[in-house]
Amino acid sequence: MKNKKSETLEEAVSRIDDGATLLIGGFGQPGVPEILIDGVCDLSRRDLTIVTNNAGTGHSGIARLIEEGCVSKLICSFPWAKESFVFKELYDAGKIELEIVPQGTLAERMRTAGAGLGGFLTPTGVGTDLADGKPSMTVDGKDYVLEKPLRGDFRPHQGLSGRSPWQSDLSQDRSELQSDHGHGLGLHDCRSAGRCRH
Amino acid sequence: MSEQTNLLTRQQIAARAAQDMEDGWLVNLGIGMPTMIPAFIPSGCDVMFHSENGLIGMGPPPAEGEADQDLISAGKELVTMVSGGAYVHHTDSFAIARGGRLDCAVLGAFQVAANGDLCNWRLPNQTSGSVGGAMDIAAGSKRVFVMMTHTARDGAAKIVAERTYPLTAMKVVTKIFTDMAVISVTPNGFVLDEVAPGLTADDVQAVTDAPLNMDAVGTIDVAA
Repeated sequence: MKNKKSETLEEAVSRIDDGATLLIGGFGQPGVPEILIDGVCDLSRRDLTIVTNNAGTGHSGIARLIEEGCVSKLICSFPWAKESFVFKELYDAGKIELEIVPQGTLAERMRTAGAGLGGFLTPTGVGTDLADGKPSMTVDGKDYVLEKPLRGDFRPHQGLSGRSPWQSDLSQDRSELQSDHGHGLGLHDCRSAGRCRH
Repeated sequence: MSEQTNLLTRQQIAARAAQDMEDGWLVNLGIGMPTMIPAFIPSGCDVMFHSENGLIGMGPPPAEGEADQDLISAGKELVTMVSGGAYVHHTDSFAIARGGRLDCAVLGAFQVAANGDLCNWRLPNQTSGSVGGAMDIAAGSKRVFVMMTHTARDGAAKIVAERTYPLTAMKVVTKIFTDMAVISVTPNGFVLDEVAPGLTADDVQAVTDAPLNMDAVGTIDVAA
């Protein structure tokens, strides 16, 4: 199997170009791959589209990426929270675009893209503002909205041992584990799938 | 009416809603007041709580010094996992919600209409809201219970004949628990099941913008 290990974090994230779409896991602060995001911030990339559940917390991680002007569009389910003040400031100033997607639809649109499907029919959002302009269909007497796949270019992710210092708890074992950031971090290149015939 | 003392406290509303949780149910609790329900589930009633970020079997907050920073509720509060619980992928968590595997969801609301329409994600004067998992959970749960104050802070009715607020999900609400009453949503509209001690059915009707069926009105048991 091809060794895809990057020697440095910089080498790994340098493949992310201006305008790329990043699919970022996590819920609130837990699970957000902050060390990788810091690496992207350090490259000062521009016009990134970020797909994630929330709109950043405080000034770190996704909030830092937004604050440093790297992000032109955020696609998420829960943008308005007191801890996402950095996003609100840029949104109010007209400096960042927002697309709100119901949480289950957001997750399923990404899964659908990765699974090679052309979309899915969901009962979520039928008759609501968030279904405006989307095709709808009635199947066996029940109404559905057609949701399209949501494709990304990269998916940064972290495991337990790749957590940034704030994310570790006080346990000595975990402090030792997370001291080696080389483990537990990954950057999946979604573009490598399904392009062979082009 | 409107003597503050006759309104139920948040704890009392939670205690009343907890009485309707049935043994063996899988239940999703919305952010805010609904998260107070688990404390009032009687022992011996085995209810499992689903948190849409991927936790089936959500338990109470951790004891001091035992918190896992990754183990949080949908409201981002530190929680625990009960014995027999599981972590699931985000898409699986919502397959549970949309797929009718939630026996009940208890959510807050800005407005509930007589046909069961739920409005709880965005106010009409806002251009945007935080939908989170509300639309998926409301659309897919077997039952949707609403837990809220009976009226808005300005006194406006939240229980209405037809909704005027942005929709979360159509025709989904089955029961409403407020600081004044317990109301069922039926194919024939609202049925007033119970009123808070000290209130009359007419008191409740006076602050409700839709007709209430008052054929059999009981009193909320706040001692339970």
